[in-house]
Amino acid sequence: MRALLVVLAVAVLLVVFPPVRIRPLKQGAAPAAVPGSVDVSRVAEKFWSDKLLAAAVEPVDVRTLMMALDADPARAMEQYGHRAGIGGNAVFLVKGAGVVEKIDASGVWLGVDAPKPLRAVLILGPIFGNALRDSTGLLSLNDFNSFDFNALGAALNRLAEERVQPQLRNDASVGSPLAFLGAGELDDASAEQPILKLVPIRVSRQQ
Amino acid sequence: MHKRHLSVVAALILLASLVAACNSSSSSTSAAGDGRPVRVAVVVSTLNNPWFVVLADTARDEAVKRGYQATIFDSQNDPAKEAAHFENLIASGYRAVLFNATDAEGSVANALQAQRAGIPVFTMDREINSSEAAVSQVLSDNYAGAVNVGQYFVAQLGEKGRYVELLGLVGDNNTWNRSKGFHSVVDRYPNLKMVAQQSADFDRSRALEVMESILQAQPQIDAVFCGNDAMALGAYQALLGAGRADKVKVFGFDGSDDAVRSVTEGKLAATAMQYPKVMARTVAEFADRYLKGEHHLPPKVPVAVDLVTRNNAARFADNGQQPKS
Repeated sequence: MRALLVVLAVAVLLVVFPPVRIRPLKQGAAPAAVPGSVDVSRVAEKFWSDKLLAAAVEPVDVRTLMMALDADPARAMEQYGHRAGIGGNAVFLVKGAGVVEKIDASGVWLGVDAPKPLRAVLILGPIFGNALRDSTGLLSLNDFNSFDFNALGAALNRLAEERVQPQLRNDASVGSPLAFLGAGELDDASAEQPILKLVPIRVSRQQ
Repeated sequence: MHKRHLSVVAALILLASLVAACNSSSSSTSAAGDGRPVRVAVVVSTLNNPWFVVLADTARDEAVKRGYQATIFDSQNDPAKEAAHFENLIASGYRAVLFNATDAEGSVANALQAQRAGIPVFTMDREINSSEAAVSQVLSDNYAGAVNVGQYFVAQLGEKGRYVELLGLVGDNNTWNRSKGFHSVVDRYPNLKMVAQQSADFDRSRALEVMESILQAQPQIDAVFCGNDAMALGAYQALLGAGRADKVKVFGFDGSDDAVRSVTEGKLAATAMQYPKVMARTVAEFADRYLKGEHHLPPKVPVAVDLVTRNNAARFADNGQQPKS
């Protein structure tokens, strides 16, 4: 009887405090690849020429975008836009053409023949924000440290300022037709006449 | 016969204990092998700042909502205290850490220790400089937010003026992302001159002292940019004391309730909403998914930061519910 009681006591202990714990093999986090600091200027140059100018990602036609935004803004932003993470405006890679309506310190304003009247402004002057970096969806914070990712956005903006804005100033005149490739966001899709604010990537005067 | 009965009983009990051992490892995340809820630690840099109180409380509440027992550990901005918390939670059987670090570099060792003990770490708001030390990092896009503040700053000052910058903790990546974002805009305008730049450690009282000192050396300034709202409110207090609050525009960063209220009242010029509740809920959700077996989570998730001015402050009450999209 005493032996049975001892066995039962041991048994209770073994159930409450199992001597062995069996765990699945893949416990713990899988380490993610993390690059060290990169040469941001070189990465920006390569991205500018190999991805943006080379149209590695097909830009959406401005008319298609406006129709989609008019029909279902949330779906259109999901289909054609990109965001770096949670929240924030969706940014688009957009191509199209319009007639220059005015030129001021903020940019070259185009009237675009779209299903819903639209104005696009190709930005002149200092460029800020991450439209160039984020509009293709090809660059991710997961591939860089945060300082480099931010610096990359700024470096791409500088390339647009140095390489595209001078040509834009040269080619744009009020009344002239202009074709464009740009990255940017819509000011307010629900407005009577939304404004598409674009960082210019490529512009050309149309005949 | 008696001995044979005992042997059978012992064998059955041994079998039962093995079954218990298996169940304790693959049990639902809402119950540990001994029937107690799974415990999640919320380790926060400081509770001496209302913004971090919201961050920690929301993380805790979301974890509890998902069936966990959650405890908040306050590191009091002290890496040594943070290390002690990690030693404690590792030894005490916590199963996940929702982590707001004291130092981007210094906190890596603590997080790595937890990860190597099989305890997944999810950082919120503050980045740590290691991909191995956290399963996922949910971070405010501080640089982009500061660019927005910088653009508004330039517009408000008419592209000219003398200003002061108060920096946060120098070991925090947020400090430098915000400062760099701000300067990426403001430095493009040669008539905007920074006359002083000093760290006030993200602390309101410290900012008051620092600003009072700066005002003695630089009485004629037009604006102050502060790396967080606590410092902005401290700077504002100093300006009030000097009789210059109506002449100097103060800009903060965080979107804390008191700062948003201050913007609404026309005291602070602007701040930037960081959505602490979104970050906290996201890391709690990630921890839950991870503990239930989903291990492929995004290593880094930026959360947009929105500019708060007097024109739109009304929609940012209660620490902002959701970034606009």
